[in-house]
Amino acid sequence: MKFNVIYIEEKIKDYPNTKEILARINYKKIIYCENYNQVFNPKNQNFRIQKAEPSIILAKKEQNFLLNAPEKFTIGYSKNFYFSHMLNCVYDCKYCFLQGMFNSAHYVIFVNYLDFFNAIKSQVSRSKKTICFFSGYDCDSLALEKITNFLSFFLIKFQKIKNGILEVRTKSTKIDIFKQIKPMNNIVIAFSLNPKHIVKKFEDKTPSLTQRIKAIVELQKLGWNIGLRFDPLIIDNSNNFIIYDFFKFIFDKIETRRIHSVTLGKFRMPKQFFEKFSSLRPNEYFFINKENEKFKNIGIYENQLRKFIDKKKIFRN
Amino acid sequence: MIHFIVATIKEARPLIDFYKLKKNNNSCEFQIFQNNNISLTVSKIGKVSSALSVSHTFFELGKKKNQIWINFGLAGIKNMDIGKLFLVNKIIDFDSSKLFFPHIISNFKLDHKSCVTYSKPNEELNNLLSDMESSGFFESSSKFSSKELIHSLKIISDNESNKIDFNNDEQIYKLIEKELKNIDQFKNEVVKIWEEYYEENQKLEKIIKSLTEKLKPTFYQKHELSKLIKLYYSKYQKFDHNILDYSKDAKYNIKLILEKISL
Ligand code: SF4
Repeated sequence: MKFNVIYIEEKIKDYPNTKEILARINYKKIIYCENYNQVFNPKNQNFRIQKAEPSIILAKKEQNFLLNAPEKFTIGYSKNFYFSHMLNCVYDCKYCFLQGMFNSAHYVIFVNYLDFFNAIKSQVSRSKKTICFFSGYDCDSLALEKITNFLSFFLIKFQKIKNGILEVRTKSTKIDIFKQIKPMNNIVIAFSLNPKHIVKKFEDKTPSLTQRIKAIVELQKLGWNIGLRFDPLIIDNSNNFIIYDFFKFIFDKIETRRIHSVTLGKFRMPKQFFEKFSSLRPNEYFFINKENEKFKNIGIYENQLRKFIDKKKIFRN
Repeated sequence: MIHFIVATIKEARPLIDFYKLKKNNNSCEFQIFQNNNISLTVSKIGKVSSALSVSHTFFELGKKKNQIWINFGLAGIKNMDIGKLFLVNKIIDFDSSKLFFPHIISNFKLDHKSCVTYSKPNEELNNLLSDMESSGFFESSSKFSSKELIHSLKIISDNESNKIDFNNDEQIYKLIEKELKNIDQFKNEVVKIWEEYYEENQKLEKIIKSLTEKLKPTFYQKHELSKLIKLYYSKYQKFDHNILDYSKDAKYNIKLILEKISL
């Protein structure tokens, strides 16, 4: 991956991790800023133009390392947090809520990984219950690993967290990092999946469904816990039969016993982001609005899922 | 439209000649020169004047949002050759310490540098470009356009050992003339971005405006109407007014468009 410009917050230019990340990037020019918001937040930016050639912004996350996950957002644990060491994503899903949320398409990488880990450590030390931490809410956790090395740092540390579960949510098939370390019980590698034609139509630049399943099979063989995320499950005029076939296609290939959890949810985007999303992508706005209405009967899909996997492992978000 | 904002007539003259711009006699406060696609406003020196000239140009030339804005002028720097052209990649307002970051892409083949905007001439040159306009220009044009369409271009006029004679019009003309091709190429790259992301939008805005005037939709209906027209347009690559019935209200016509795009 080549980048024309890398923005770096002045205060972190000498951090070892900044230097390490820079060493892994092919770039032309560094431009320093005081705070990443100066580049990332101005309102008069066009997400679509920037998406054609995003820059990287290296920054320091100062606060709010962990955020409470919405109440319904669970994979079986009562306490849930999410966090993101990155903002934005290398993929370009047409339904992605990030384009409604952010003014800029540049990739922000928060280089102070240890601060995220310390926040987790402090959270679990105050709890007797198992806490679940979702990584990759504002990004794809794995897709830019070659540059960030976030997981190589984080997974080893997370081994010590006894009452914590880490979900690594991804569409990426760059699973090298998981081949390099021993499988850990408290990690769930969660793959977002949609029917083949939806991936083709809506999930630009992502690996195909077949590639993702291949990665799942490989990871399962190595002994990793896998999560399946039909969330959002995007449906178009395919009928229930096609969704059934889609589930069958997946469950025929993977080992159901080693599935940690399955989530099922419809497309949702906070109202305040929808307005921007609708002007950036008018076609998808109407499509998704219309299809979403059909999705009142999500129960049908849950019933279909139950034919393949224990209902206790299914969570509706 | 492409709007050039240039501090002095001496710096503007080569561009006026190159683009064959004619004086707009309606504009009193600032001199504006223009042809069909390009305008050039002589802002006078200083960031406040530069900011004002942007606003003036915007209101004078049809209040069109998301147009291309290019600030062009001479600048000093300690260690670069006189005559070299730079694209500004970061603007630092010396007085307020505010920072601005234009969007730089790889298709822009020009070398780029940061620029400090001073409110008085800066005699002590350093390794950054020194000018007196960029911050005012950028802040003001940000109100009217997307960041990706706003840029500053600077030609080096003085360095630690030399400076041009600012009273010598011919010397200034020749200095700028040499870079006109590069300036034009850069402008064309920004135009490509505009064409890809905004040209169609501009056509659509016109259609939406004319429909709103005729159908008098409510606030919500206007929103729906504008989305539907965009959708219709992307499906058929044009908008056919005959599909509508202007004797009926907005609600009825929204239904008609929905039928046409089969939603
Ligand atoms: S993979 Fe997720 S974060 Fe990335 S573009 Fe798609 S929906 Fe957005």
